[in-house]
Amino acid sequence: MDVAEYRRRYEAELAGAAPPESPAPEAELARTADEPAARADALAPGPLDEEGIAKQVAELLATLREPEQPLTARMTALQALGALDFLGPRFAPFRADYNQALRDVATDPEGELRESALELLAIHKDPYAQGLLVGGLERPEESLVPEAKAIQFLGYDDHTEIVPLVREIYDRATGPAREEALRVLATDPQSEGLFMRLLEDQAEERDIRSISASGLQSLNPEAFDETARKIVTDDSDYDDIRATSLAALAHGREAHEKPADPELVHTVRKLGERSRSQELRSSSRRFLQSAE
Amino acid sequence: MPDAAGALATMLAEQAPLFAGRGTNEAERVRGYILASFETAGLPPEAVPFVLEELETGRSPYTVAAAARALRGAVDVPAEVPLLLVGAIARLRGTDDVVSFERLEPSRASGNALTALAELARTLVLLGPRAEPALGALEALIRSEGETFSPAVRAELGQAVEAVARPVGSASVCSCGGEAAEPVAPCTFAPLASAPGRDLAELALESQDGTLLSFSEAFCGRPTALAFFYTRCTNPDKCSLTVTRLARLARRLVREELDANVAGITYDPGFDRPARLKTYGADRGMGFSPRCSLLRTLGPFDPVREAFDLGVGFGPVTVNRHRLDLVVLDASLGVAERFERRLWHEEAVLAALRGATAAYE
Repeated sequence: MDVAEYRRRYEAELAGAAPPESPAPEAELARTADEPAARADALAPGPLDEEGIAKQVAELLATLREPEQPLTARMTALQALGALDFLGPRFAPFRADYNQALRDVATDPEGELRESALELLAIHKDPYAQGLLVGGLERPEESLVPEAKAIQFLGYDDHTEIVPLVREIYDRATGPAREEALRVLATDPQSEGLFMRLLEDQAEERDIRSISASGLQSLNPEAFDETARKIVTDDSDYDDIRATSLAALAHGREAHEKPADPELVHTVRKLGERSRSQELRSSSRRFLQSAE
Repeated sequence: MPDAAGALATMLAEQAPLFAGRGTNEAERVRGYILASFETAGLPPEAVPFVLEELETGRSPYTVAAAARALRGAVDVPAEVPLLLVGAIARLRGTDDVVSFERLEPSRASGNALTALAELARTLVLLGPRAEPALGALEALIRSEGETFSPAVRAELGQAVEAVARPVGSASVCSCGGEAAEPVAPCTFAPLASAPGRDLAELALESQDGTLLSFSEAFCGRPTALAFFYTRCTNPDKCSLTVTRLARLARRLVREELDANVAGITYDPGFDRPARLKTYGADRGMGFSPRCSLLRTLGPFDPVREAFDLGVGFGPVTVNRHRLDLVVLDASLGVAERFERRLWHEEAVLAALRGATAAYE
C-alpha cells in the first residue's frame, strides 16, 4: 500500500475514534491532575486539525518533560507523541521540539522512560543519544540502559562504527548482550569467519547459531550456502537448526534465482520423507518447491 | 584570518586523516563544526565547493545549517546559492532539528539555540535582495508547504521573504559579499593528462554476476563513464541517485548507438558482494550487460581511491563520508573528464563520452 494513502487512512481512523462530545483536553487534563490513570486516558489523541495537533503536542511534551508527573502519564504522553509522529508532514512542525524533549528525558531517573526515549532517538540516529549509549558501554557505571539494549539501539545505525567496541563486548559478554553484539557484527565483513565457526559449532547455543546463520547469509551468501548444506545433510545436528538452514537456502535460491543443485535436491527430498520433525519436513517441502 | 580559514578548508577533504576511523555521525559533526567556523574565520574560495555540496545534497540538519552559517563569512556568494538555500529548506522541512555550534561534542542544545531551518532562513535574510532569484521559489515553498514549518520557522521565513524582496538600494550592510556574484566553480574539470586508469590495468574486479575481470578487460578499448558508490549509503541524493542516473545513461548510449561503457565501482567491496550489487542495480533500473555493470574490487579499494584521488573517507568498517565522483575514461584508460562533488547530469557526461569517442575514432 502507498505510504501516503496509509497515513491518510490512519488519520481518518484516529479522527473518527475521537468522541465528538469529549471535553476540552486542557480541562480534562486539569481535572485529572491527581489521578494518574485518568490523566493517562486524557492524553489520548484528540481532533487532528492543525490547532488541535499543536495543543495536543504542547501538552504531551509538557507532561513528558515534567518529572513531577506520574510515570504512567509520562509514558502515555510518549506513546501518544509516537503515534502523532506517524502523521509525517503534519508532525513536522513539532519535530525539533519533540527531539529536544526526548533528549531531555534520555537521562531521566525513570529507567523505563529513559530507555524508550533513547530507543526513539537511536532509531533516528541521533548523535547525542549515540554518545550516551557508547559512553555507557565504555564506562558501565554511567550506563543508562542495560548493555544489550545499548548495543541493540546503536545497531540501528550501521554507520556508527561501534564494531571495534562491540567485538570487545562480544568476547566478554553472555546472554542477551552477546546476542545483540552478534547482530551488530552482521554488518562487519571481517566477522564472516566468526559466524561460520559459530554456525558449525553444535555445542553453541541455538539462538547464537541462528543469529550467526542470518549474519553469514547477509555477509557472504556463497559461504553461507556451503555451511548450510553441511548442516542440512548432517544427521547429528539439531532438527530446528537444519530446518532453519534449509529455509534460508530456499530463500537465497529464490532471491538470487540460483539454479537448483540436483544432488542437494535429492538429499532434501529423502530428508523430507524420513524426518520426524514437522519443522524439517515443512522446510524440505518449501525448498523442493523453490527448486522446481 | 585568511591563513586559519585556508587551514580549515584543507581539513574538509573526505580522505583527510582527520576523518579516518570515525563513524559517519562523528565525521559529520567535525565537518559541520569546521564549516560553521567559516562564519567568523571567513569563507575561503577553496571551501566554497564543500558548502555548495552540503546545500545541494546534505541530509543532516547539523551540517546543512553549518554550510548556511559558512556563507555568512563569504566575500563573494556564488549566484546559485539562494536557490540552493531554498532547496535545502525544502529538503529538510520534515527533519528539522535544533543545532548548536558552541562545542564539538553533541549535546542538548541550550533553550535559545536555533533549528537548521532557521539558520538557513537567516542566511537568506543576510543575502537580502541578492537572493532575489530565489524569491519565487521561496514564496511558492511557503505557500505549498507552510503547514510543515513550526511557527518559529514560519516567522524566520517571513523575515527572509521580506529581506529578499526589499528594493536593492535599501539592503542592509551584510558580510556576504559584493553585488556581482560570480557563478560557482564548475563541477567539471578540464581533461587531465594523467592516466591513472592505466596504473590500475591489472586490478582484479568482480561484476554483479560474479564474473572476474581486470580493470583493463573491463574498460580498455572504448570510453567509460565510471562512477563510485556503495549500497549502504544512506543519502538518497548520492549513491542511489548515482546508480539510477548510470542506468539512464546506459539506456541513452544504447539508443544513440554510442560504443561506451557505463559502470560503477563500490567503495565497500567487503560488503557489496555480487548478489548485493545485482539487486541494488536492478532496483535502480540497471540493464546489466558487458557494457553496463556494477563492480567491486577483489582486494582493498585503496588503489582505486589513490589512482583517481577520490573524495571518500572510511571508518573502521565502512564509508563515513564521500563526495560524488564520476570519471570519464578514454579508450586507453586516461581520464578525459571528471565530475566531482556536485550532482552531475546525464547530458554533460554523454557529451564527455562523445568527445572521448571522437578522439578514439
